[in-house]
Amino acid sequence: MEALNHLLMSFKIALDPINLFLCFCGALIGTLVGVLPGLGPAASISLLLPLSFALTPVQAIILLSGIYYGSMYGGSTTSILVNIPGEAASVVTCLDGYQMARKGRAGPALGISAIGSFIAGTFAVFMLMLLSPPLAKFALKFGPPEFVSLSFLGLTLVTYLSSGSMIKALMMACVGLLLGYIGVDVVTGVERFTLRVSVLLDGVGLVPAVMGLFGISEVLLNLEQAHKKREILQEKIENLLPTRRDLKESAGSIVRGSILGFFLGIIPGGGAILASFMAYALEKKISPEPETFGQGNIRGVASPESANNSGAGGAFVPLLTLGIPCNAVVAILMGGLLIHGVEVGPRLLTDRPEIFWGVVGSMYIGNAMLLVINLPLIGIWVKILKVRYTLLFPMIFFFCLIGAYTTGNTVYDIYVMVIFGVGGFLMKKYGYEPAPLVLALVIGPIMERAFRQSLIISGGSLSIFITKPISAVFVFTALLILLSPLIFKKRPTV
Amino acid sequence: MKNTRDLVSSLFWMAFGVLFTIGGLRLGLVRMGIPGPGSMPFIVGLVLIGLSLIHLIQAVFPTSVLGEKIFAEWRTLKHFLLALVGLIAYGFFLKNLGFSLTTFLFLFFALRFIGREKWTTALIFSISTAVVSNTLFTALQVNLPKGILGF
Repeated sequence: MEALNHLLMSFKIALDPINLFLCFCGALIGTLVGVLPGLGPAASISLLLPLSFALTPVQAIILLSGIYYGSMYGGSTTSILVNIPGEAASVVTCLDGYQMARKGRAGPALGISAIGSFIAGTFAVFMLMLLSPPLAKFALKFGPPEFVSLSFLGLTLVTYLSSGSMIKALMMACVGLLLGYIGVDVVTGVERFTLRVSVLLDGVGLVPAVMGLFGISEVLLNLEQAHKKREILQEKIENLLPTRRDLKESAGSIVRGSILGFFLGIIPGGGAILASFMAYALEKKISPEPETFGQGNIRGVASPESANNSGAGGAFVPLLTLGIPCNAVVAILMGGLLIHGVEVGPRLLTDRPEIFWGVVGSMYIGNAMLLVINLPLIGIWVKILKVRYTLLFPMIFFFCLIGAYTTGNTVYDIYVMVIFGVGGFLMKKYGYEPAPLVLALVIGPIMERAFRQSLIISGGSLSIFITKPISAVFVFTALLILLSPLIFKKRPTV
Repeated sequence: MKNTRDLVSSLFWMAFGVLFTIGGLRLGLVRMGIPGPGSMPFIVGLVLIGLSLIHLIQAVFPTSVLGEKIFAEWRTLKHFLLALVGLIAYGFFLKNLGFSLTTFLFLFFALRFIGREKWTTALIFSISTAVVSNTLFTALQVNLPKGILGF
């Protein structure tokens, strides 16, 4: 009965006309962002973050989360039609999606990807609704030491699963933590590492930092390819609805992708990207004809596309119940909620239930909206794909500039953004991932406060982190993960 | 053969760690029996130094070497520098020239000199974007600088 009441509450919030409109805007912008290569969900959410300050926290998270799961839908379009993933979680869709398109089956590929995404997205919201309340209730037992250990475990997992060198990922997490210490210390009121620059008193702004790392740096990288022409499938896309045989072939893949994606989405560092890769690998492994993968097998589209949507939904579980962001996009969402003065963590469900249930309701509706936005409007998305990058990048720059400026009405935020933009560009060139940095930047200050509170409780003894059972489990798991590369030669990466 | 790129970056992050470690020490590790404002920067700074050191060793004895240059050709470096100049100039002139004029100049510069669009395309695109965005932001009551020309 309680569950039904909650569900009714979630729909009541989501069906409010303004919320419904914002959910639609989020889904639409998300699809657009997914379709356009070079503008990922992280950059777009940070672009819209300043605009969301005029909204209530519920409205803001409905809009921003819509962009996140919407981009998962849109990402497949470019993968299938151009062989360029619109965002990272659709990389693997290129393998079979583009091959299907080359064989004249672009319609069924787009269709199955939208249907799979819808089923997986809805499954993820259902699971989010089911798992979150008991998990949040359990997390209410957490004190500062448990929170520190859990954050430590989260950061460790993110670095463990990140692509490339784990040492580099760990270094980026440290850099993010250090950058998070800039500003006035909340415990003592002492200025730290501000270099007497007034704009740094409140710390490094999340919005300019993220826009620099994901927006500006991405454009700077893409400028190298800006004058190259993209080859877009010229044939007319027909028969978007997959045949009965297609549906029969894909049904199992969609179910497996949805389940695997959701649970991988919950793990910090996992999320939609890892989910899509693992789901594809699983499908190929259990298939009686693995050699057909990469040559236009519809299961190679259905499975990763379901998994990335389910993974995106799964990532909301640790955010809304524990206050731990699993990936950079969710970290930005969390940063947005923090700016709105919302305390994200186990108390969110009891203190601000309208936020949690509002997201749940909007995700149900948003998924249905996306099905409508994606399939019948495919012609429009294909036209947008044809926009030259040389026309597109000045607009991305412009949105970043305005976004950074309007955060605090100061041009210093523009300079901060440019510094992070150049930093992000060099980081990518030197093989450093920005995701652990952003995650650490967001949870660093909260983690520090909890760390110092823990030491005050224990009288300065670090043993508090291993004498409390829950905390000890988190610490030992994290240490095991950190030491595992020494034991196992290979580790799973995104 | 050393991996120069990793060597340079590990030295950079090591220096970054050293700065925060020293800063942490100066801020104080303990205050009135409780962890001081410098405690966490000190600890994390030390960890970063340690990780950079491991990375430095890996760079001296690499298993693979990144061969590709940061900027493959002069044109990419030129575009990179032009973009930077444009972005910084936007911040520099925004207050004095105002939102509309700075936006027009920035977009025109980016379209024409980085994107190599035609003069007419660049002009039409930048003027229309500046006008539309100004109207939109005024309607949304977003506070943007008007500059010496008053728009």
